[in-house]
Amino acid sequence: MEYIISGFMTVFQPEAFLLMVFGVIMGIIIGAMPGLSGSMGIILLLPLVYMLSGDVALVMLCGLFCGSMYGGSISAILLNTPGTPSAAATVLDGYPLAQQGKAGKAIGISSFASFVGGIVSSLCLMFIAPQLASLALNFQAADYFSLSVFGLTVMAGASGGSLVKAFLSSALGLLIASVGMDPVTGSPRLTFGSYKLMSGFDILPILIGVFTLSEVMMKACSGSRPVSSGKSRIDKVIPSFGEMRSVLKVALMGAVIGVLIGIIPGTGGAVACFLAYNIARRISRNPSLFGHGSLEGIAAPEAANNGTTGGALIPMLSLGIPGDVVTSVMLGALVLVGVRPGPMLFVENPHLVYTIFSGMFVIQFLMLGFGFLFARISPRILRISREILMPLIVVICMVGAFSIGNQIYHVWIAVFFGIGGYLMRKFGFPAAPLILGVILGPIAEENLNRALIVSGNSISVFFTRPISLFFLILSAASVIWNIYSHIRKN
Amino acid sequence: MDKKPFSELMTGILAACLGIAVFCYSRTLKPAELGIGAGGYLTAVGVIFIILGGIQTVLTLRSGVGKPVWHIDAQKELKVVLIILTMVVYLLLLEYLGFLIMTPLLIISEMAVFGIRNWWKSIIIALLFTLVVYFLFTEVFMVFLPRFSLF
Repeated sequence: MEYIISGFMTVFQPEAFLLMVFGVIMGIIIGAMPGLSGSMGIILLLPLVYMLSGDVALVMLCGLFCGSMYGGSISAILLNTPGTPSAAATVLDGYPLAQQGKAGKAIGISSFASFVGGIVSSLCLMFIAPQLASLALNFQAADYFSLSVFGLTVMAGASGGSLVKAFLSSALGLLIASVGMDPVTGSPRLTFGSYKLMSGFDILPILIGVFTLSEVMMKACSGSRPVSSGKSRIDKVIPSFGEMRSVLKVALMGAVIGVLIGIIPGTGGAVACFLAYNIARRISRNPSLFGHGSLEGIAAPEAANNGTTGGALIPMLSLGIPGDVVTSVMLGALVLVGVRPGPMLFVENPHLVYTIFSGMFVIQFLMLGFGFLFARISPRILRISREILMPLIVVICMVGAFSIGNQIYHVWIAVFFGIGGYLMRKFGFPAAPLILGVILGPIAEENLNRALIVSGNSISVFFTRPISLFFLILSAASVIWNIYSHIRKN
Repeated sequence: MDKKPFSELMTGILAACLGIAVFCYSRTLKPAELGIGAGGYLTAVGVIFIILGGIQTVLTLRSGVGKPVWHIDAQKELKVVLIILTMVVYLLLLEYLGFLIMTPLLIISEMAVFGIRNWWKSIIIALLFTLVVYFLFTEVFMVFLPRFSLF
């Protein structure tokens, strides 16, 4: 209780509160713009993250995460184009409502459902994450190694597309992570005589290159078009009490689905929103309205995708394994500010953990307020064209990479990984497993080494420890399931 | 089964070759008596690459290889090449000409690549954005961006 109060006190301090508001607003704007994602938003804020303390940086990033999840629904409703993949199901009923002249009502219900989803996921985060972390305190080196293997296999499996390519992406991440001094013997590896490579690659230029610069190149390649005509009319935004009551049941159901899906590493809002939408249609009293402008059809997926936010933070904070792409980028950002998520975080820095929990609650209220507010000006935001936005994003990326150590070298690295990321996208390689490989590679190597040293080079330690065995079985099951699904699909 | 493009086959072969190179390199690193040593991790990564590259190659060959080269839309790819070129030129000159001179040029040229033909609009946005970023980073975040240093 003491930590919760202290967390709320930190969140309401002017600096943290203002940055949280900034994060939510940025998140809504970024989420609303098709082509910009929550992960890109976090990368664009990284230069700012550097200057902040861990807890303040985290609540700002959480604000952006939740805001972008909600923001995706605005363009889904107004433009028939989801701002983020997590808002894909919102299109189905949101756009028909906008065509009926009820865009304001649709955005209002989306804000309310996102709020319900966010509150439920914040509650689950507060209660489940500490339990999972206390369980993870019993982990030893072998268990951490197996957990890293599990994280890599699940993320690769859930990336979509070719399974082999996803695993190749992971392997490339592991290879990139090995550049520099070996953590145990101190021998240089893959440095090719360059002293700059002795310390390996910083995660920030890799994130900037692979996620953002490559996205700019993809956008240049995909041709030009205006983002919005900006002609949508926004009527009454705040829903009536009756409307809120009518969608509460499906919103709660969607929120629970979102949390459960979010906890599973490698999944995310895109899966949760369709699952919630289908279940909502089945339990609805008016299933025929679905697809033609049902309020329940908006509430269920919106509550679900915001439910995944807290859910995805559970494995990230308690185990150090991200739940989705955005949390994997967030994990990279946290490493930058010296915060290493995992069970020890709950022991060593409970204040930070409970600041995040408290921040998540406050963020939901901010998101509700700004959601209603932004609904009216959203058509104007959507008019900003990609042709103007992309060059400005390039500049922020350049400055962000430069700010790591005031060196142009890091900007070159970002551009190098940008070209690599572009080629990966072109040839169907997902980026998220690569980033996870870079993050989890050193953890896997260090713990593999430690486990083997302690056990006298016996690999049986990975199979005799129940936790390690459990994760290895889960990893194998995940790979087998993905292969089976792939074969069945073809 | 649909034929796969030639690039799929190349991906598999390249991955396997990379794996072999990483594996061979890892054997040159000093082994340890206990633990995996400096090369153990790289050996594992090399083996993973060889296996995955092999699987990719076999899967592609089994379904048949389609067109000999992948389709390239020259006009679209030219835009990407221009984007990369502007970034490279920007980085080469940034150290000497500084952020305040190079950044508006980068923004204007990238906007041109993206298809903006309203030069006045580009120039105004580029100058304003450069000044805001420069002020924010040098005054607020204390990141000292490169300055003009030719003389």
